[in-house]
Amino acid sequence: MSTSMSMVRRVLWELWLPVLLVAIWWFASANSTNFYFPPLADIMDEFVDIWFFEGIRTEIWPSVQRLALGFGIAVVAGVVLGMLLGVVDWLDNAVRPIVEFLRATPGVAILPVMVLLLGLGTSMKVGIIALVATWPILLNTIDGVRSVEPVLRQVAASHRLKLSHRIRFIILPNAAPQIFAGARTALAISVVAMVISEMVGTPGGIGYFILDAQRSFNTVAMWTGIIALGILGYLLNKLFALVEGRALSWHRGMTAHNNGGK
Amino acid sequence: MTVTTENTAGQPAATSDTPVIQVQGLGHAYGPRQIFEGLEFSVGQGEFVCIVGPSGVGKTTLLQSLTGLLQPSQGAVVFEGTTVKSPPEGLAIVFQDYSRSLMPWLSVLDNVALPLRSMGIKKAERVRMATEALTEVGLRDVTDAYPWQLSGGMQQRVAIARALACQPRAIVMDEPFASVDAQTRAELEDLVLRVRDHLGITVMLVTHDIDEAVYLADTVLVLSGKPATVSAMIPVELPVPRHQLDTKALPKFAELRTEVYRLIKNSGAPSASA
Repeated sequence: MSTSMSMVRRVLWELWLPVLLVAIWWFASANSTNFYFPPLADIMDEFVDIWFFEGIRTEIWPSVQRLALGFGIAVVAGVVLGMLLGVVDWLDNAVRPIVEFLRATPGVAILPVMVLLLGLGTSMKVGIIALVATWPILLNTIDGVRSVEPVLRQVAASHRLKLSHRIRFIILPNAAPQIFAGARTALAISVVAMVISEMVGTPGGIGYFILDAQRSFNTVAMWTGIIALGILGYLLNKLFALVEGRALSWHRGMTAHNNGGK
Repeated sequence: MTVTTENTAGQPAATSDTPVIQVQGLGHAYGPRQIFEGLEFSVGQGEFVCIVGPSGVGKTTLLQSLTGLLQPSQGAVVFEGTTVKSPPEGLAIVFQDYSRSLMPWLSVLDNVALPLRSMGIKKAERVRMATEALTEVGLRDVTDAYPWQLSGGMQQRVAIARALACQPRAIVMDEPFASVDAQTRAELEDLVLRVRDHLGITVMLVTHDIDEAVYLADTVLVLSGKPATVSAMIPVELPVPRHQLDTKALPKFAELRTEVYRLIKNSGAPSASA
C-alpha cells in the first residue's frame, strides 16, 4: 500500500457524502420555481459573481479580521487567567462560582448589554466574540494546569526551576492539549457570535450580508452567503487543525506510540 | 578533613569527619500517624548508602524530607553544614517513575538541559554539559528523541543523566529500578556504581530489594517498625568493584542479605509486608 494510494482513499472517504448531497440538491432543485429554494445552478452562478473576489474583500475579510481579533483576545485572556486560577488555588475558589455563572449564561444573552455599553460598531462585535470564546479556553486551561503530574512538580522543585521556566516548560506544555481542545470549541462559537453580532450591529460582514439579502427578498444571494459562511467555517477548522497538529506533534506522537507500541 | 574520593576499598567511607548528610532526630507524622521517628545517621563524602525496609515503612516520606521536598515534623536534615529547608543546590533526585518524571514534550537533551537553563548556564555550555551527562549513561545517540520513544531502562538513564548534569555532590534515588525488568535492573545498578566511582559523588538509594541494597551499598540502613526507626546500619564489606555474578556468589553476600532480612522481619514490623 503506497502512501499516495491511501491519501487518495482518505480524500475520497471525506468527500463522498458532501458530493452526494450537493448532487441531490443540484438535481432536486434543478427546475425549482419555488422562490425560497432557487435552483442550485442559479445559486452557484450568483455565488461566483458575488464572492469572487469582490465579496471576499468587502464582506468576508472584515468579518475574519473581527473574528481573529476577538478570538485572539479570548485565547490570551483565557490562557493567562486560566494559568492564574489553575496555580493559585484560593483565587480559583474565590471566583469559581462567578466563572461558572458567566459561562452558563448564553453569550448571545449578553449581546444587548454589549450593545448598550459598546454601541453597534466594531468594538461591540469584537467584544462579544471575545466574551463568548473566553470561557471554554479558560476552564480547559485551569484543568490542564491542575493536571500537572505531582512527580513533575517535585522534579521542578528539586531542580529549583525558576517560575518562568516552570510555566514555560512544564505547566504550559502540560496544559496545551486541553487548551487546544477548549480553543477548538471556542472557535466554533466565535463564528456564531461573529454572525449574530453582524446581524445586530452596523452594516458590513458576512452575517449582515445574509440578513440584508433575506430582507431584500434576494434569496439567491442569501443562499450564496450561507454557503460562503459554511466554507469559511470549514476552512477555519482546517487551519486550526493544522496549527494544533504543529503545536502538539509530541502529543500525537506519544498517543500513537502508546496505543500502537507495547 | 575529608577522606579522598579514592573509593572505599572494602572499608566504607562512613568514617569521614565531615558528613555530607546528617540526620538529626528526624521524624514525620501525617496527622496523628507517626511514620518514622528519632532517625539519627550520617552519610560520608562519596559513600553509597542504601535505605532498605518493607513497603509502607515510609521510605519515600523519608526521602522527601531528606531532600527538602517535605518539611519533617521533628528533627532536621543537614546537608553540607546547612539545615535543609527546601531542595538544596548540589543535591539531585532521581524518582522512581521515569515515565512521569520526564517531560514528554521535551527531547531527551532538553529534559537533561532544563535544570541547567534555570541555573543560568548559557546555551552552548548547557548542551555540552547535558551531552556529557548523557554520554556518561550511554545515551549519546538518542539526544534528539522524545523520552516516550525509548525503553523503560533508557528513560531511567535519562532521568539519571538529568540528575548528573547539574554536577551534584550528592544524589538521592527513590526505588529507581523498581519499574524495569531484571536484566535492565542489573545493568542500571552497575551503571550507578560506575558513575559513582567515576564522579566520586555521594549516593543515597531507597529500595525494598534486599539483594539490591547489599549489592550496591557501602552501608545498608535498615528501617523497620511502626513508627519506623533505624534498626541497624550495616557496613557492607564486600570487595569493589562489585560484580553481578561474582559478588552475589560470595558467602559474605549471602550472610549480609540474611542479616538484613532478619532485621526487617524481626524488628516488630506487624505487617507481613505485601
